[in-house]
Amino acid sequence: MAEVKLHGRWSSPYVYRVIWALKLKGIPYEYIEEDLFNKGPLLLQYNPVHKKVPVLVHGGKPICESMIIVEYIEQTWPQNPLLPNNPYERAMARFWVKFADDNTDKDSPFWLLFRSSGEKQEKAIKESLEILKVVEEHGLGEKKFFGGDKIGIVDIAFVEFAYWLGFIEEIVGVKLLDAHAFPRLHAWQKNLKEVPVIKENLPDHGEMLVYFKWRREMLMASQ
Amino acid sequence: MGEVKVIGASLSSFCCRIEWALKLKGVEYEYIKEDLRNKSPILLQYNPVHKKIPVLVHNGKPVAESLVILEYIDETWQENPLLPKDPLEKSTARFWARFVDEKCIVSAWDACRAEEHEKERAVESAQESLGMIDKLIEGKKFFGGETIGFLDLVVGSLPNWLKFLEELGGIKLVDAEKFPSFHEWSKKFVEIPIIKEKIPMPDDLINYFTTSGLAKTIRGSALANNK
Repeated sequence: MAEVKLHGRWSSPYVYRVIWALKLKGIPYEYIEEDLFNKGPLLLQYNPVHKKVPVLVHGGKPICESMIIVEYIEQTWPQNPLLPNNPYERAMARFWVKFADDNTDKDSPFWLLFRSSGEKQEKAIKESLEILKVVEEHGLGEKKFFGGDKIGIVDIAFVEFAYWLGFIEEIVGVKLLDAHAFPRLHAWQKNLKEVPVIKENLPDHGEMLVYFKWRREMLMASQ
Repeated sequence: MGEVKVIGASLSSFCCRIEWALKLKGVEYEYIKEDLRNKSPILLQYNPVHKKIPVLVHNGKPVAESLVILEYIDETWQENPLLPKDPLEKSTARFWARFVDEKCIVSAWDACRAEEHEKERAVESAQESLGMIDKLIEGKKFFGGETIGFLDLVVGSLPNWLKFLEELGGIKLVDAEKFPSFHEWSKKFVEIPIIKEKIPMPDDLINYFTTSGLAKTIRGSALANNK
């Protein structure tokens, strides 16, 4: 089997999407930590357009964009499938993958509220809650995981809600994914973190707290 | 193979992708025209999350988001495949499709709407993205190779939309000299019969924007100022 390498950053949720996909399918890989303030020449060569992580390199060929990488992994290593077989259900899954990409990225209300204060933050909180409502009602519904009984590609796509959102909440001091307001999504978050592959593959809690605290201080100081 | 409907709007670059894909595969469908200023109950029922077009309805089941719909069409009707089979080539096509939607189209709109003092930089940024597409098609007949594929449909009406945005915003984004490969591709693409049959035309886009009053919302618009 050709060599698999993953260029990433320890705190990036997008990198973890790829790690989870690789681990769920039992694919061995070499991990290369990238310093985003001092990007390595290989990263710039493999992702000249965006210069970002994650980049998966398989047999020397790079693939970029986390969910595109996950789809590549799914097609290349079909064991423990992350997508349903049926084209309609695959389309439903891909719809929610896109939703996750569009609504939890760095320009999303969740990160905006982390980067702001006052009125701007209030607005971002309101918009974040609306997104959570849509995801719980239309995306998750009555299912245990977005993938049904087992985790699938959509669970991986909502990586931010699984773990990173908790740090935003703790550092900013606001509870968004509340058990009363969003019982099903809250249960999903808990169930997901109990899946062994997920539980064993999360960035260190203590280090994340330090990192998030530092970032928030930097952002507030520059305002 | 079941009843197929497309809920769309004729000037939408996202909708025509879907119709082209269905026509390429010889799939018959019913087209339902949506008035975006007065959204129908059907649209709200079939796309409750975004309330947007296009929506494909196959045997009563709706699929939304143009790139998702294209992949669904490709997996359901397998003649004249749109996406490459090879995982790496497929990933590359998906990567550039996202780039077109998230960078090219957005930066072109930003350049159109930019304030005077920001215009030059916004135009440069849009041209940087378009330059990558030009480089991508260099030396190739179509993005899909000898025949059109997924990425051709995605890039699709971009040249016409750029002409429209240039006029609306009083800017210059593309020309044959600056992006020769992109220019060559667009000439060949619009001559294909099923494409020619239904593609948003710059004049129609300008007409729609000026008559609907939307042009006034574009700052510094040459068209808005002429009204």
